Amino acid sequence: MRVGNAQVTEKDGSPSSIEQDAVRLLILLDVAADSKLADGGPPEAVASIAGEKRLQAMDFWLRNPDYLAWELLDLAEETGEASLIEEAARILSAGEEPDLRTVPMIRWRFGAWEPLDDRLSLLAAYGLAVDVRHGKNLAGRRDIFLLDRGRRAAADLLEQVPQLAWYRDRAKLVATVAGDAGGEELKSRQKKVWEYRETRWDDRIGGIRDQVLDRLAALGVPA
Amino acid sequence: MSAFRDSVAARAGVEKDIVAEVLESYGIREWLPASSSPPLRIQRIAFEGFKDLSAEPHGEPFEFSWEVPGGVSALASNENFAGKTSVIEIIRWLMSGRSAVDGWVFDRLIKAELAFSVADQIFTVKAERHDAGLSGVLMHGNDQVRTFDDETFEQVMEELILPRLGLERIGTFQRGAGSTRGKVTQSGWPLLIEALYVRPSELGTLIGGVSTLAGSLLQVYLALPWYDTVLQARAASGEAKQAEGDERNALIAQAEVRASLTEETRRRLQSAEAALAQMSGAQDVVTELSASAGRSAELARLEMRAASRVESARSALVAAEGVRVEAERALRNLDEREAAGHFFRALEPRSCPRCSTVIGVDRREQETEHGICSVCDREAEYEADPAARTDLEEQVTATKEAVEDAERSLAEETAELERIASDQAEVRDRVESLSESEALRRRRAQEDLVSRLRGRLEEREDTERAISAEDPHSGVPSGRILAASVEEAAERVGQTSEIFVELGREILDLGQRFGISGLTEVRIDRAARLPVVKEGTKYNYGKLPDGDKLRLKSQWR
Repeated sequence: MRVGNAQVTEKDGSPSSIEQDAVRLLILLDVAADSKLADGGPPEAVASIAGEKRLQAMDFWLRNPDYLAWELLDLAEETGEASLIEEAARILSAGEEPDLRTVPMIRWRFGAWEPLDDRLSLLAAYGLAVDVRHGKNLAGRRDIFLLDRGRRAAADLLEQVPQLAWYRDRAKLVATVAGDAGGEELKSRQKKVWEYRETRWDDRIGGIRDQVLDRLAALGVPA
Repeated sequence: MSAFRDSVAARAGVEKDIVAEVLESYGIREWLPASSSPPLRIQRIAFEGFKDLSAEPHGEPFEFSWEVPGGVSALASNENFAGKTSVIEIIRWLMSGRSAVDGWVFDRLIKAELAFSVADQIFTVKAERHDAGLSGVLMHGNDQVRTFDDETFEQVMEELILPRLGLERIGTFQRGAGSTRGKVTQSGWPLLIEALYVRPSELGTLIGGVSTLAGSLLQVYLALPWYDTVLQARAASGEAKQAEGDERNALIAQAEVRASLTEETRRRLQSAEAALAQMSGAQDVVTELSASAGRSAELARLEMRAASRVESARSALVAAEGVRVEAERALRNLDEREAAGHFFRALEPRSCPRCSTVIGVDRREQETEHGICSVCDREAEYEADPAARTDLEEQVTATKEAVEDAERSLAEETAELERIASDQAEVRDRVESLSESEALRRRRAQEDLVSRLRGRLEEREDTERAISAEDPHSGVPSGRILAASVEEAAERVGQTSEIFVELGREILDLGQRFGISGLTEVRIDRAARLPVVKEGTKYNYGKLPDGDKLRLKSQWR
C-alpha cells in the first residue's frame, strides 16, 4: 500500500510496514529492555536486549496479546498473583480490541521469527538504536542497544501519537513475563502452547484466544 | 403286480401302487392254492380227579383212560349220564385250551392228558389243576416244547394247530348290541374247532354253535378260493369305514366348534362397536387431540426452520464481525503506518544504514530545499493518500452497519424462534393434558378391543375359507380301495358256486344213507343254509326233527 510516494515497504506477507515494525521495536527497547545493560555496546547506549532470540520472543508476545495473556495466566499459577489474571482478562476484553493489534509472526526453526535487519537498519539510520554482534566472524550473539537519542525519540513519539500507548502498556507486561530469562528459555515457554508448537515452519502461528477465554472461564473470570 | 390288484385299482379308480400299499397295510392277502389239510386224530385221552372235593382227603378218586389210535369219530353208551359229553368236552378243552366242560366235572378234575396226531406228528397235552390255577406242558414226541397256564393255554394250542391245519383266524368287524361302533374281532381255533364237534344241545346251526358264523366256518373248511381274502377285506373295510366316519364326525364337530367361536367373536365385536359408538363424549377430546398433535408437528417443522435461520444469522453476524475487524484493523494499520512514517520523516537521518557513512548537513539541506532524499538521492514526496483513508473509513462504517444489521437480524430470528418454541411448549402441554383425560383413556381401550376383535374375526374367516378350499378327497382313499377289494374278492368267490352244488349232492347221498327217510333234495349255500325236500315237502334245516338235524350236522363234514 502506498502512502504518497513514500516507500511503504511492506514485506511479503507481512501486514505491517517497516516503519511500524521499527516503531514497535523502538518502544520495546525503551520499555522492556534488560535490567542490566549488555557489554560491548556504544557509549551512548542507554538500554539493551541481549540476544536476538530473546528479542524475537518478546516481540512475539507484544504482537500476539492472546499468547501474552496465556503467559500471564501461567505466571499467575506459579506465583499466585491474582492481578496477573485480571491483566490477562483485560488485554483480551473487547475494549482493548485485541484483534486489531494482533500481528501474526512466521514460525521458523527456533520459533516465531521475523527478519530484524530492515527495522533495525531504519533505527540505526536515524541514530536511535544499533546492534552489536559478538563471537568469531560475528556469528555469535546479537545484542540490540537503544541509544540515548532513541529514548528521547520514543518519548516524543508516544506523546505525539497517543494511540501507540497501547504498545507501551503491552511492552510493560512483556517485561513482566520475560523477566531476565534468556531467549532459549522464553522460546521454550512459548512452545508449550500446542498451536505454537505444532505450527509448521514458514506458516503463520495461529491464535489461541478461545483457549485463553476457556482458562479465564475456568477461573471464574469473564473477559 | 397281480390281476387282483389291477382289478381293485380299476374298480377304485386309483393308482396300482396305492392299492398295493393299502392292502399291505391292512394285512389283506391274495388267495393262493393251499395243500389239503392233514388229518387230525385223537390218539389217547386220560384224566383223573376226586369225586368229593369238600372232604379231606378229597374222597374217592376217579380216573379215565382211553386209547383210540384210529381217532374219535363218535362216542356212544348204553346209558345216559355215562360221561360221553364230559369226555368229548375234555378232549375239546385239551385240544383248544378253552373249556366248556360241565362245571361239576371240571371242578373235580385234577389231571388230564390228550395225545393226538397232526400230519403224523404226535403231540401230547398234559394239564394239571391246582389251587393256584392251571399248569401244563405240550410235548412233541418226548420233547417238551411249550408250557402253559390259564392265561396262555388257548394261545399255545392255537399256535400249534392252526398253521398245521392250514387255517387262519377269521377277522370280522362286529358291533356290540345296541352300539353303532364296532371293531375287528379275530376268531381263532376255539371257534374253528366248533365245526369239528357236534353237541346234541346245539343242533340249531348246521356248523358250529353260532349261526352268524356258520357260513364263514363252512367256507373256511371248504378252503373256498378267495374266501379268506373276502373276510380280511370285509373286516378291514368295516374298520376303515368306521375310521372315515370318525374322521368325518371329528371334522364336523371341529367345524361346529369353529362356527360357534366365530359367531361368538362376531357377537362380541358388534357389542364392542356399539359401546364405542356410545362414547361420543370422548370424541371431542379425540378431535382436539388430533388437531393439537397436527399443530405440534407443524410447529416442530417451523421450529426447525427458525433454528436454521438463527444459525444462519449467527454465522452471518460472525462473518460481518470478522469483516468489520479486518476493516478496522486496516484503518488502524493505516493510522500507525502514517504515524510511523511521519515520525521517521521528522527525524534527521544520521548515517547510511548499510555502510554507516555519515549523512552530512549538505545532503540534509538538499532534501529540505529541493525534495531530494538525503539517503538515496531520489525525489522524496511524503504525502498521505487521502483516498486510501477515505476508502478504509467508509469500509469501517459499512462493516459496522453490516454488523448492526446482522445483530438485528439475529435478534429477530431469535425472537421468532423463541415465540415458536413457546407456542410449541403450550401445545405440548395441552396434548399431555388431553392424553391424561379419563374419557379418552376409556375410548382408547375400547378402540383397542374393537381392533383386536376385528382382527380375530378376520383370522377366523380366513381359516374357514382356507379349510373350505381344501380338497376333501385328498389323501389315500383307503375306504374306496378296501370296498373294491371286497367286491373283487367276493366276485371271485362267487365263481365257485359249483362246489356247493356238488356238496349238496353229497349231503343228500349221506343223508339218505344215514336213514333220513323221504329225503329227496338237499341244497347248501355259502351261509350254510340247508333247505331240503323231504317226502315232497320243503323244509329249512332248522325246521327238521332233531334226529334229522343230528344226522345232517354230523355227516356234512
